[in-house]
Amino acid sequence: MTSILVVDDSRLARNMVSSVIASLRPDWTIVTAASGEEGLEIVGDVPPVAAIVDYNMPGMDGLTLAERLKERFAGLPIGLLTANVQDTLKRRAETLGIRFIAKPITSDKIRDFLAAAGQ
Amino acid sequence: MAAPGTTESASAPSPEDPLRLDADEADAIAELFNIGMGEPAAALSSMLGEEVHLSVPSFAVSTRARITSEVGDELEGEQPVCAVRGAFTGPFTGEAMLIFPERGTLALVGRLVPVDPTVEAPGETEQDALTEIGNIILNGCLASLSNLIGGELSGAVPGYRAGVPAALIGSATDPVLFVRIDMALAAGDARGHALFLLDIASLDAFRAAIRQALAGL
Repeated sequence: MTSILVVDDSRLARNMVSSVIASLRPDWTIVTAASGEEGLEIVGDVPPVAAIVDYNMPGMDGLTLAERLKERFAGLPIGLLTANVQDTLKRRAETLGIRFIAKPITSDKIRDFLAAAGQ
Repeated sequence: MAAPGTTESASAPSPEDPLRLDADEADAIAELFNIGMGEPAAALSSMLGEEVHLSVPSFAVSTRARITSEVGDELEGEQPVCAVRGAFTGPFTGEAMLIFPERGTLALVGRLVPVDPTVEAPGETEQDALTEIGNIILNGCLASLSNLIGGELSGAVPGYRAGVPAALIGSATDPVLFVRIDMALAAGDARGHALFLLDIASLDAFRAAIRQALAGL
């Protein structure tokens, strides 16, 4: 089973990302979570092919979540999906080897991320 | 429209409540403002040379009296605060506001202009600097929202005013739609709020605008 993890506190954002992924990769299972904590729990030990995580969430932020995911799944491609387009955040994402995806979400941005992730 | 003084709660409105917004609508509003604040916060960050932390936007049906109480408590109660405020019109109307405590204002504008360390309240130069910051944040967010909803929101040039929170936010008990985003500089010495108060009268237009935005995303 090929799965991808999508974590965003906004239901709208989760639905939009899921709908884009479903249209691009209809055979994938999309695992969604509304917080970093839930994402870590729900993903378990089965590595997804990639993860797309929001930055600005109540509780754990997206960069912390990305670090935890990298600890659990070495080499996991992660996209940080955020409206926060400040250079400092972009640099922190780059340092962690995480791809920056600026909101609003478009099909092209998700396609580019998946292509860069080798998917 | 609900009568003034009507109990207002976004969480448990009655089915006939004209203020009723379902969970999806409330979620969409918060997300649109989240996206809307992204670019102006980045612009402010590069201006200040420092990261600007933003909270997750919160959305509620509230009143100016309640907002004054909630926000005022966090802004040192009855201490004077500094605000940059401007009305906006378009598919929906309301007022946008950036509020910082006086000390926070001095710390914030001190990144841009020399501030006399002995002063306790912002002078003309500091007020001008905060007004410019408010202009960038508030009109930047409204511009992003305009693009998202495919309509034009026109913001008046924001004006500076200082006073106790009740004098700036108001104490009316008519219901308003309220979006709040907390802002803080990375160093932690300047914390404030971006507030958007939307007139209930424009709720239908607002709903239509949200649907338009969602359709375009």
